[in-house]
Amino acid sequence: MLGVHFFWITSRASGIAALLLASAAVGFGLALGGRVSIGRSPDLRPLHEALSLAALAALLVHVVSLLGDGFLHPSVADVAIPFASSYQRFWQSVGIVAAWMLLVLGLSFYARARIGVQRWRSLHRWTALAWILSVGHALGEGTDAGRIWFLAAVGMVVLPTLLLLIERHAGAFTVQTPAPPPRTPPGRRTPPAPRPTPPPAPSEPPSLWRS
Amino acid sequence: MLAAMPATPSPAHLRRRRTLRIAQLRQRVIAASVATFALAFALVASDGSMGSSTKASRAAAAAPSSTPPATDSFDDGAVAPPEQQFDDGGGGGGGGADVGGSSADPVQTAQS
Repeated sequence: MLGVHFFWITSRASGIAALLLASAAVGFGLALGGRVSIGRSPDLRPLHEALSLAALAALLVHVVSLLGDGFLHPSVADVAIPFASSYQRFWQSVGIVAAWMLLVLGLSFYARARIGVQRWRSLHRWTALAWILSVGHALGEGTDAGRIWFLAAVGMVVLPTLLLLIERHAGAFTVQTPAPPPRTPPGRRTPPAPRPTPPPAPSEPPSLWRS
Repeated sequence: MLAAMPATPSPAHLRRRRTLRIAQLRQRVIAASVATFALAFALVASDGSMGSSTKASRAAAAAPSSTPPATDSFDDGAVAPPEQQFDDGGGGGGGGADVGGSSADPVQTAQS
């Protein structure tokens, strides 16, 4: 049985691994920029990067091993172009879009100097959407989506990440109660604060008084 | 007394320690990824559905050869049993053009 279904099982297992790793990577990424602090922050960035790269590697195995499945015989276009395949068309297309987004947005980290850090940062936020799409793909099309072990494993990493995502976006909508002090417009100097004048020396009067 | 106090580590030493820590972290992530994949592989191979005993495959196999192919529409409910449309191994979305009712299809239906 294993021989016949080897590629199919490999694709499913790597898909599950990719989902779990991507969830962890997104979770640590949210923890990096959010208000929730986990562990030592200097180590969070390399951990986020390592998890992201591992998720991309698992994603690659997920797609490539599907090409070897002797039953479905999908073409490269079927697994790379949305709506090209007739097999589970909607959820498969969702998965393909999510995979492309994860790949492009994830690897854009290494081109952020060329893109511009601010632009890259605003682009990188879309990774959360790609992750949500991949969760939808797994639950909608995944053959094991109804299994207890699958739901337990996915719940353990997806739910905390989802909470962090909600916390991040809820934070954007909270009303800032303390108003910041009024800032002077750029290009205009603020008058220096008056310094306490030292008391005049009793021996001689100030020289300005003479003129 | 002063000699017993630990000396402040130099920046180069700190940098080396951090590099070492990051390398260890990467190794752990790789090990965890491989372990996750192996565990998932074992679970799918032992517990995952391979399509031998789903209701859909049984219904499709038992259906007479003159039965028209089931489609996504609900108009042909009199022909296809309800579970043939819904119990396709968890993939309930869209698609469905490949879920034919011919006798060669049960495995494909179950593998989805």
